[in-house]
Amino acid sequence: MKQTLRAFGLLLALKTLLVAGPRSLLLEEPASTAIAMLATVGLVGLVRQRAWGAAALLLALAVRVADTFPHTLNHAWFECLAAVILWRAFASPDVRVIAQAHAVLRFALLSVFFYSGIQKLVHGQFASGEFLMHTVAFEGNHMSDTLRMALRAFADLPRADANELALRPVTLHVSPLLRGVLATLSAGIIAAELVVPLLVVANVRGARWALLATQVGIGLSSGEFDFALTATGIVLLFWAEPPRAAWIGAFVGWAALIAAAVFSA
Amino acid sequence: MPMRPPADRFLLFIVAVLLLWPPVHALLMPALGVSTWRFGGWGMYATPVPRRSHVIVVGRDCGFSPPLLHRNDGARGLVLGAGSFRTGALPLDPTGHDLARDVASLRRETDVLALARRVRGLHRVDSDEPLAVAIVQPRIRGDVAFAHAAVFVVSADFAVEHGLRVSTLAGIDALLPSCGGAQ
Repeated sequence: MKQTLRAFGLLLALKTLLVAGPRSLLLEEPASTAIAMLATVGLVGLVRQRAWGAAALLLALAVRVADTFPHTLNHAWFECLAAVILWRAFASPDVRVIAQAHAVLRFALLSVFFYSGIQKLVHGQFASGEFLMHTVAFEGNHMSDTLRMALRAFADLPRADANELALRPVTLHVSPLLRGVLATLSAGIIAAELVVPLLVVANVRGARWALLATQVGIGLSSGEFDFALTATGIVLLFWAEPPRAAWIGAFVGWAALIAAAVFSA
Repeated sequence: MPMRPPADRFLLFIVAVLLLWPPVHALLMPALGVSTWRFGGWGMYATPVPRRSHVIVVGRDCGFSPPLLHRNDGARGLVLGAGSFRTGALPLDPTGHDLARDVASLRRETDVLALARRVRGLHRVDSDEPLAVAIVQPRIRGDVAFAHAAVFVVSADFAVEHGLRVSTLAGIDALLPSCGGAQ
Protein backbone atom coordinates (compact mmCIF):
# COMPACT_ATOMS: atom_id res chain seq x y z
CA MET A 1 0.00 0.00 0.00
CA LYS A 2 2.82 2.39 0.74
CA GLN A 3 4.15 1.73 -2.75
CA THR A 4 0.87 2.75 -4.38
CA LEU A 5 0.65 5.83 -2.16
CA ARG A 6 4.17 6.70 -3.20
CA ALA A 7 3.19 6.33 -6.86
CA PHE A 8 0.24 8.64 -6.36
CA GLY A 9 2.43 11.12 -4.47
CA LEU A 10 4.96 11.13 -7.30
CA LEU A 11 2.19 11.69 -9.84
CA LEU A 12 0.82 14.61 -7.83
CA ALA A 13 4.27 16.14 -7.32
CA LEU A 14 5.16 15.79 -11.01
CA LYS A 15 1.89 17.38 -12.02
CA THR A 16 2.40 20.25 -9.61
CA LEU A 17 5.86 20.80 -11.07
CA LEU A 18 4.50 20.57 -14.64
CA VAL A 19 2.03 23.38 -13.95
CA ALA A 20 4.13 25.61 -11.67
CA GLY A 21 7.50 25.21 -13.38
CA PRO A 22 6.72 26.96 -16.68
CA ARG A 23 4.77 29.68 -14.85
CA SER A 24 7.78 30.29 -12.65
CA LEU A 25 10.12 30.58 -15.65
CA LEU A 26 7.90 32.49 -18.04
CA LEU A 27 5.87 34.71 -15.72
CA GLU A 28 8.38 35.12 -12.87
CA GLU A 29 5.75 34.60 -10.20
CA PRO A 30 7.30 34.18 -6.72
CA ALA A 31 4.53 31.84 -5.60
CA SER A 32 4.98 29.61 -8.67
CA THR A 33 8.72 29.52 -8.04
CA ALA A 34 8.19 28.46 -4.44
CA ILE A 35 5.64 25.83 -5.49
CA ALA A 36 7.96 24.43 -8.18
CA MET A 37 10.91 24.25 -5.81
CA LEU A 38 8.90 22.59 -3.06
CA ALA A 39 7.35 20.14 -5.53
CA THR A 40 10.87 19.21 -6.68
CA VAL A 41 11.91 18.55 -3.08
CA GLY A 42 8.73 16.56 -2.68
CA LEU A 43 9.58 14.45 -5.72
CA VAL A 44 13.04 13.64 -4.40
CA GLY A 45 11.71 12.76 -0.96
CA LEU A 46 8.80 10.68 -2.18
CA VAL A 47 11.03 8.59 -4.47
CA ARG A 48 12.68 7.49 -1.23
CA GLN A 49 9.36 7.31 0.64
CA ARG A 50 10.44 9.95 3.10
CA ALA A 51 8.01 11.91 5.23
CA TRP A 52 9.85 15.16 4.46
CA GLY A 53 9.08 14.58 0.80
CA ALA A 54 5.38 14.36 1.55
CA ALA A 55 5.70 17.43 3.80
CA ALA A 56 7.37 19.41 1.00
CA LEU A 57 4.60 18.48 -1.44
CA LEU A 58 2.00 19.48 1.15
CA LEU A 59 3.74 22.82 1.64
CA ALA A 60 3.83 23.40 -2.14
CA LEU A 61 0.09 22.84 -2.43
CA ALA A 62 -0.62 24.90 0.69
CA VAL A 63 1.32 27.79 -0.86
CA ARG A 64 -0.85 27.46 -3.95
CA VAL A 65 -4.02 27.63 -1.86
CA ALA A 66 -2.76 30.59 0.15
CA ASP A 67 -1.59 32.46 -2.96
CA THR A 68 -4.97 32.22 -4.66
CA PHE A 69 -7.21 32.52 -1.59
CA PRO A 70 -10.14 33.34 -1.48
CA HIS A 71 -10.44 32.57 -5.20
CA THR A 72 -8.78 29.17 -4.87
CA LEU A 73 -10.05 26.66 -7.41
CA ASN A 74 -11.71 23.56 -6.01
CA HIS A 75 -9.15 21.15 -7.42
CA ALA A 76 -6.42 23.08 -5.58
CA TRP A 77 -8.31 22.55 -2.32
CA PHE A 78 -8.72 18.87 -3.12
CA GLU A 79 -5.06 18.31 -3.98
CA CYS A 80 -4.00 20.08 -0.78
CA LEU A 81 -6.27 17.74 1.17
CA ALA A 82 -4.82 14.74 -0.70
CA ALA A 83 -1.33 15.94 0.23
CA VAL A 84 -2.38 16.17 3.88
CA ILE A 85 -3.52 12.55 3.78
CA LEU A 86 -0.30 11.49 2.04
CA TRP A 87 1.80 13.28 4.61
CA ARG A 88 -0.10 11.55 7.40
CA ALA A 89 0.61 8.19 5.81
CA PHE A 90 4.33 8.81 5.35
CA ALA A 91 4.82 10.49 8.71
CA SER A 92 3.35 7.64 10.74
CA PRO A 93 5.29 4.48 11.60
CA ASP A 94 1.99 2.65 12.12
CA VAL A 95 1.14 0.35 9.21
CA ARG A 96 -2.56 0.67 10.02
CA VAL A 97 -2.41 4.44 9.46
CA ILE A 98 -0.99 3.82 5.98
CA ALA A 99 -3.91 1.54 5.16
CA GLN A 100 -6.36 4.04 6.62
CA ALA A 101 -4.84 6.93 4.66
CA HIS A 102 -5.18 4.82 1.50
CA ALA A 103 -8.87 4.32 2.28
CA VAL A 104 -9.47 7.99 3.10
CA LEU A 105 -7.93 9.07 -0.22
CA ARG A 106 -10.29 6.78 -2.06
CA PHE A 107 -13.19 7.99 0.05
CA ALA A 108 -12.25 11.59 -0.71
CA LEU A 109 -12.62 11.04 -4.45
CA LEU A 110 -15.93 9.22 -4.06
CA SER A 111 -17.26 12.04 -1.87
CA VAL A 112 -16.32 14.59 -4.54
CA PHE A 113 -18.27 12.65 -7.16
CA PHE A 114 -21.27 12.11 -4.88
CA TYR A 115 -21.55 15.63 -3.53
CA SER A 116 -21.00 17.08 -6.97
CA GLY A 117 -24.16 15.24 -7.98
CA ILE A 118 -25.98 16.42 -4.86
CA GLN A 119 -25.00 20.04 -5.49
CA LYS A 120 -26.33 19.80 -9.04
CA LEU A 121 -29.65 18.51 -7.70
CA VAL A 122 -29.88 21.10 -4.93
CA HIS A 123 -29.27 24.13 -7.15
CA GLY A 124 -31.51 22.88 -9.94
CA GLN A 125 -29.93 24.57 -12.93
CA PHE A 126 -28.00 21.52 -14.05
CA ALA A 127 -30.76 18.97 -13.52
CA SER A 128 -33.16 20.90 -15.75
CA GLY A 129 -30.64 21.05 -18.61
CA GLU A 130 -30.31 24.80 -18.15
CA PHE A 131 -26.58 24.69 -17.40
CA LEU A 132 -25.74 22.72 -20.54
CA MET A 133 -28.05 24.94 -22.61
CA HIS A 134 -26.21 27.99 -21.31
CA THR A 135 -22.88 26.33 -22.12
CA VAL A 136 -23.94 25.59 -25.68
CA ALA A 137 -25.46 29.02 -26.27
CA PHE A 138 -23.03 31.36 -24.55
CA GLU A 139 -19.73 29.73 -23.69
CA GLY A 140 -16.67 29.47 -25.91
CA ASN A 141 -14.60 26.89 -24.06
CA HIS A 142 -13.60 23.24 -24.46
CA MET A 143 -16.82 21.97 -22.93
CA SER A 144 -19.03 24.08 -25.16
CA ASP A 145 -17.05 23.07 -28.26
CA THR A 146 -17.34 19.39 -27.31
CA LEU A 147 -21.07 19.68 -26.70
CA ARG A 148 -21.70 21.55 -29.92
CA MET A 149 -19.79 18.93 -31.90
CA ALA A 150 -21.72 16.11 -30.26
CA LEU A 151 -25.13 17.75 -30.56
CA ARG A 152 -24.87 18.97 -34.13
CA ALA A 153 -26.61 15.85 -35.33
CA PHE A 154 -29.67 16.57 -33.22
CA ALA A 155 -30.64 20.17 -33.81
CA ASP A 156 -29.68 23.66 -34.83
CA LEU A 157 -27.76 25.15 -31.97
CA PRO A 158 -28.37 28.65 -30.64
CA ARG A 159 -25.49 31.00 -30.12
CA ALA A 160 -25.65 34.39 -28.45
CA ASP A 161 -23.45 37.00 -26.83
CA ALA A 162 -23.34 36.57 -23.05
CA ASN A 163 -22.67 40.30 -22.58
CA GLU A 164 -26.15 41.07 -23.88
CA LEU A 165 -27.77 39.28 -20.94
CA ALA A 166 -26.83 42.14 -18.65
CA LEU A 167 -28.74 44.54 -20.85
CA ARG A 168 -31.79 42.64 -22.02
CA PRO A 169 -33.26 39.13 -22.42
CA VAL A 170 -32.21 37.12 -25.47
CA THR A 171 -34.43 34.66 -27.36
CA LEU A 172 -32.53 31.47 -28.16
CA HIS A 173 -34.86 29.58 -30.58
CA VAL A 174 -34.30 26.18 -28.98
CA SER A 175 -35.89 23.10 -30.53
CA PRO A 176 -37.80 20.70 -28.23
CA LEU A 177 -35.48 17.93 -29.40
CA LEU A 178 -32.39 19.82 -28.26
CA ARG A 179 -34.05 20.68 -24.97
CA GLY A 180 -34.86 16.99 -24.42
CA VAL A 181 -31.38 15.80 -25.33
CA LEU A 182 -29.73 18.26 -22.95
CA ALA A 183 -32.11 17.40 -20.11
CA THR A 184 -31.46 13.68 -20.63
CA LEU A 185 -27.70 14.20 -20.78
CA SER A 186 -27.84 16.26 -17.59
CA ALA A 187 -29.84 13.59 -15.79
CA GLY A 188 -27.38 10.95 -16.93
CA ILE A 189 -24.41 12.88 -15.62
CA ILE A 190 -26.04 13.41 -12.22
CA ALA A 191 -27.05 9.74 -12.05
CA ALA A 192 -23.48 8.66 -12.78
CA GLU A 193 -22.07 10.96 -10.10
CA LEU A 194 -24.50 9.68 -7.50
CA VAL A 195 -24.66 5.99 -8.37
CA VAL A 196 -21.10 5.07 -9.34
CA PRO A 197 -19.58 5.97 -5.95
CA LEU A 198 -22.29 3.96 -4.20
CA LEU A 199 -21.55 0.97 -6.43
CA VAL A 200 -17.87 1.25 -5.56
CA VAL A 201 -18.60 1.40 -1.83
CA ALA A 202 -20.90 -1.61 -2.19
CA ASN A 203 -18.04 -3.45 -3.93
CA VAL A 204 -20.16 -4.21 -6.98
CA ARG A 205 -18.25 -6.06 -9.67
CA GLY A 206 -16.97 -3.71 -12.35
CA ALA A 207 -17.73 -0.58 -10.33
CA ARG A 208 -14.13 0.66 -10.24
CA TRP A 209 -13.99 0.39 -14.05
CA ALA A 210 -17.18 2.45 -14.18
CA LEU A 211 -15.49 4.98 -11.90
CA LEU A 212 -12.47 5.12 -14.20
CA ALA A 213 -14.66 5.51 -17.28
CA THR A 214 -16.73 8.23 -15.61
CA GLN A 215 -13.65 10.16 -14.57
CA VAL A 216 -12.03 9.91 -18.00
CA GLY A 217 -15.30 10.91 -19.67
CA ILE A 218 -15.79 13.92 -17.43
CA GLY A 219 -12.19 15.00 -17.90
CA LEU A 220 -12.26 14.76 -21.68
CA SER A 221 -15.63 16.46 -22.14
CA SER A 222 -15.17 19.24 -19.59
CA GLY A 223 -11.56 20.05 -20.40
CA GLU A 224 -10.69 19.79 -16.69
CA PHE A 225 -7.47 17.93 -17.49
CA ASP A 226 -5.65 19.24 -14.41
CA PHE A 227 -8.06 17.68 -11.93
CA ALA A 228 -8.55 14.62 -14.15
CA LEU A 229 -4.87 13.74 -13.78
CA THR A 230 -5.07 13.81 -9.98
CA ALA A 231 -8.43 12.04 -9.87
CA THR A 232 -7.27 9.28 -12.24
CA GLY A 233 -4.32 8.70 -9.93
CA ILE A 234 -6.71 8.16 -7.02
CA VAL A 235 -8.89 5.88 -9.15
CA LEU A 236 -5.83 3.67 -9.66
CA LEU A 237 -5.69 3.26 -5.86
CA PHE A 238 -8.84 1.15 -6.16
CA TRP A 239 -6.68 -1.59 -7.63
CA ALA A 240 -4.47 -3.54 -5.22
CA GLU A 241 -1.36 -3.36 -7.41
CA PRO A 242 -1.85 -1.12 -10.42
CA PRO A 243 0.90 -1.72 -12.98
CA ARG A 244 3.53 0.93 -13.46
CA ALA A 245 2.32 1.40 -17.03
CA ALA A 246 -1.04 2.58 -15.67
CA TRP A 247 0.61 5.34 -13.63
CA ILE A 248 2.81 6.38 -16.52
CA GLY A 249 -0.06 6.26 -18.98
CA ALA A 250 -2.32 8.32 -16.73
CA PHE A 251 0.35 10.96 -16.23
CA VAL A 252 1.53 11.17 -19.83
CA GLY A 253 -1.98 11.17 -21.27
CA TRP A 254 -3.40 13.93 -19.13
CA ALA A 255 -0.16 15.93 -19.07
CA ALA A 256 -0.15 16.00 -22.86
CA LEU A 257 -3.66 17.40 -22.84
CA ILE A 258 -2.71 19.99 -20.19
CA ALA A 259 0.27 21.07 -22.29
CA ALA A 260 -1.83 21.21 -25.46
CA ALA A 261 -4.44 23.35 -23.73
CA VAL A 262 -1.80 25.76 -22.44
CA PHE A 263 -0.10 26.13 -25.83
CA SER A 264 -3.35 26.63 -27.69
CA ALA A 265 -4.53 29.33 -25.26
CA MET B 1 -11.99 -2.99 -1.67
CA PRO B 2 -13.91 -2.88 1.62
CA MET B 3 -13.90 0.46 3.42
CA ARG B 4 -13.99 0.86 7.23
CA PRO B 5 -13.88 4.07 9.27
CA PRO B 6 -10.29 5.03 10.11
CA ALA B 7 -9.16 4.69 13.71
CA ASP B 8 -6.59 7.45 13.35
CA ARG B 9 -8.21 10.60 14.76
CA PHE B 10 -6.57 12.93 12.28
CA LEU B 11 -7.87 10.93 9.36
CA LEU B 12 -11.25 10.63 11.06
CA PHE B 13 -11.40 14.42 11.20
CA ILE B 14 -10.71 14.57 7.46
CA VAL B 15 -13.52 12.11 6.80
CA ALA B 16 -15.84 14.25 8.91
CA VAL B 17 -14.92 17.35 6.91
CA LEU B 18 -15.48 15.49 3.64
CA LEU B 19 -18.91 14.37 4.83
CA LEU B 20 -20.15 17.53 6.52
CA TRP B 21 -18.74 20.53 4.63
CA PRO B 22 -20.42 20.02 1.20
CA PRO B 23 -24.00 20.06 2.56
CA VAL B 24 -23.17 23.14 4.62
CA HIS B 25 -21.60 24.70 1.53
CA ALA B 26 -24.71 24.01 -0.55
CA LEU B 27 -26.81 26.05 1.88
CA LEU B 28 -24.31 28.70 2.90
CA MET B 29 -22.85 29.91 -0.40
CA PRO B 30 -26.13 31.01 -2.05
CA ALA B 31 -27.09 32.78 1.18
CA LEU B 32 -23.79 34.67 1.12
CA GLY B 33 -23.97 35.41 -2.60
CA VAL B 34 -20.82 33.39 -3.23
CA SER B 35 -20.42 31.26 -6.35
CA THR B 36 -20.87 27.51 -5.78
CA TRP B 37 -17.59 27.08 -7.69
CA ARG B 38 -15.60 28.31 -4.67
CA PHE B 39 -14.55 27.00 -1.26
CA GLY B 40 -14.38 23.30 -1.91
CA GLY B 41 -18.01 22.25 -1.70
CA TRP B 42 -17.84 20.49 -5.10
CA GLY B 43 -20.53 22.77 -6.51
CA MET B 44 -18.84 23.02 -9.91
CA TYR B 45 -21.35 23.00 -12.78
CA ALA B 46 -24.25 23.38 -10.33
CA THR B 47 -24.47 27.06 -11.35
CA PRO B 48 -22.83 29.06 -14.20
CA VAL B 49 -19.07 29.53 -14.05
CA PRO B 50 -18.26 32.92 -12.48
CA ARG B 51 -16.82 34.95 -15.35
CA ARG B 52 -15.66 38.52 -15.77
CA SER B 53 -18.27 38.89 -18.52
CA HIS B 54 -20.88 38.49 -15.76
CA VAL B 55 -19.82 41.84 -14.31
CA ILE B 56 -20.51 45.14 -16.02
CA VAL B 57 -19.70 48.63 -14.83
CA VAL B 58 -21.98 51.41 -15.93
CA GLY B 59 -21.32 55.09 -15.52
CA ARG B 60 -22.95 58.27 -16.77
CA ASP B 61 -21.20 60.92 -18.83
CA CYS B 62 -23.13 64.06 -18.08
CA GLY B 63 -21.26 66.08 -20.70
CA PHE B 64 -23.44 64.57 -23.45
CA SER B 65 -27.09 65.19 -24.19
CA PRO B 66 -28.82 62.90 -23.58
CA PRO B 67 -26.30 61.71 -20.97
CA LEU B 68 -24.17 58.90 -22.39
CA LEU B 69 -24.18 55.60 -20.54
CA HIS B 70 -20.86 53.81 -20.57
CA ARG B 71 -20.43 50.11 -19.93
CA ASN B 72 -17.26 48.06 -19.79
CA ASP B 73 -17.38 45.71 -22.70
CA GLY B 74 -14.73 47.51 -24.72
CA ALA B 75 -16.84 46.94 -27.81
CA ARG B 76 -19.47 48.59 -29.89
CA GLY B 77 -22.04 51.17 -28.89
CA LEU B 78 -25.77 50.50 -29.11
CA VAL B 79 -28.87 52.51 -29.75
CA LEU B 80 -31.60 51.49 -27.33
CA GLY B 81 -35.30 52.37 -27.65
CA ALA B 82 -36.35 55.52 -29.55
CA GLY B 83 -33.00 57.29 -29.21
CA SER B 84 -33.44 57.57 -25.45
CA PHE B 85 -29.80 56.86 -24.71
CA ARG B 86 -26.66 55.40 -26.25
CA THR B 87 -23.94 53.26 -24.70
CA GLY B 88 -20.21 53.78 -25.15
CA ALA B 89 -17.39 51.67 -23.79
CA LEU B 90 -15.22 51.56 -20.70
CA PRO B 91 -12.63 48.90 -21.58
CA LEU B 92 -10.81 47.16 -18.74
CA ASP B 93 -7.15 46.20 -18.59
CA PRO B 94 -5.94 42.75 -17.43
CA THR B 95 -5.99 43.87 -13.79
CA GLY B 96 -9.54 45.10 -14.25
CA HIS B 97 -10.48 41.76 -15.84
CA ASP B 98 -9.07 39.92 -12.81
CA LEU B 99 -11.01 42.20 -10.47
CA ALA B 100 -14.19 41.63 -12.47
CA ARG B 101 -13.69 37.85 -12.24
CA ASP B 102 -13.16 38.13 -8.47
CA VAL B 103 -16.35 40.18 -8.13
CA ALA B 104 -18.27 37.53 -10.09
CA SER B 105 -17.00 34.80 -7.73
CA LEU B 106 -17.52 36.30 -4.29
CA ARG B 107 -19.63 39.44 -4.71
CA ARG B 108 -17.69 41.13 -1.90
CA GLU B 109 -18.03 44.86 -1.38
CA THR B 110 -14.23 45.24 -1.13
CA ASP B 111 -13.77 43.68 -4.58
CA VAL B 112 -16.59 45.83 -6.01
CA LEU B 113 -14.94 48.98 -4.66
CA ALA B 114 -11.56 47.88 -6.04
CA LEU B 115 -13.09 47.34 -9.47
CA ALA B 116 -14.81 50.73 -9.37
CA ARG B 117 -11.52 52.38 -8.41
CA ARG B 118 -9.79 50.64 -11.32
CA VAL B 119 -12.41 51.93 -13.76
CA ARG B 120 -12.13 55.45 -12.36
CA GLY B 121 -8.36 55.35 -12.68
CA LEU B 122 -8.42 54.02 -16.23
CA HIS B 123 -11.04 56.45 -17.49
CA ARG B 124 -10.55 59.47 -15.24
CA VAL B 125 -13.97 59.31 -13.68
CA ASP B 126 -14.29 61.46 -10.56
CA SER B 127 -14.68 59.56 -7.32
CA ASP B 128 -17.98 61.29 -6.57
CA GLU B 129 -19.49 60.33 -9.95
CA PRO B 130 -21.63 57.28 -9.24
CA LEU B 131 -20.88 53.98 -10.96
CA ALA B 132 -23.16 50.98 -11.06
CA VAL B 133 -21.50 47.57 -10.79
CA ALA B 134 -23.89 44.85 -11.88
CA ILE B 135 -23.12 41.18 -11.20
CA VAL B 136 -25.35 39.06 -13.37
CA GLN B 137 -26.40 35.45 -12.91
CA PRO B 138 -27.49 34.01 -16.27
CA ARG B 139 -30.73 32.06 -16.39
CA ILE B 140 -32.78 30.39 -19.12
CA ARG B 141 -36.56 29.93 -19.02
CA GLY B 142 -38.03 28.19 -22.00
CA ASP B 143 -36.64 29.94 -25.06
CA VAL B 144 -35.51 33.07 -23.28
CA ALA B 145 -32.13 33.74 -21.71
CA PHE B 146 -31.92 36.57 -19.21
CA ALA B 147 -29.98 37.47 -16.09
CA HIS B 148 -30.66 38.29 -12.51
CA ALA B 149 -28.34 41.01 -11.26
CA ALA B 150 -27.12 42.29 -7.95
CA VAL B 151 -26.29 45.96 -8.50
CA PHE B 152 -23.91 47.98 -6.37
CA VAL B 153 -24.06 51.75 -6.80
CA VAL B 154 -20.63 53.08 -5.88
CA SER B 155 -19.65 56.66 -5.19
CA ALA B 156 -16.77 58.04 -3.14
CA ASP B 157 -15.66 54.54 -2.01
CA PHE B 158 -19.06 53.77 -0.61
CA ALA B 159 -21.27 51.06 -2.10
CA VAL B 160 -25.00 50.52 -1.77
CA GLU B 161 -26.22 47.08 -2.80
CA HIS B 162 -29.54 46.62 -4.52
CA GLY B 163 -30.82 43.08 -4.41
CA LEU B 164 -31.29 40.58 -7.21
CA ARG B 165 -33.60 41.59 -10.00
CA VAL B 166 -33.91 40.93 -13.72
CA SER B 167 -31.09 42.81 -15.38
CA THR B 168 -31.72 45.36 -18.09
CA LEU B 169 -29.80 48.50 -18.93
CA ALA B 170 -32.94 50.50 -18.25
CA GLY B 171 -33.13 48.95 -14.80
CA ILE B 172 -29.50 49.78 -14.07
CA ASP B 173 -30.05 53.27 -15.46
CA ALA B 174 -32.91 53.72 -12.98
CA LEU B 175 -30.65 52.85 -10.03
CA LEU B 176 -27.83 55.15 -11.13
CA PRO B 177 -28.30 58.72 -9.83
CA SER B 178 -29.15 61.12 -12.62
CA CYS B 179 -26.89 63.93 -13.72
CA GLY B 180 -27.01 66.97 -11.48
CA GLY B 181 -27.58 65.24 -8.13
CA ALA B 182 -28.27 62.07 -6.14
CA GLN B 183 -31.63 60.29 -6.51
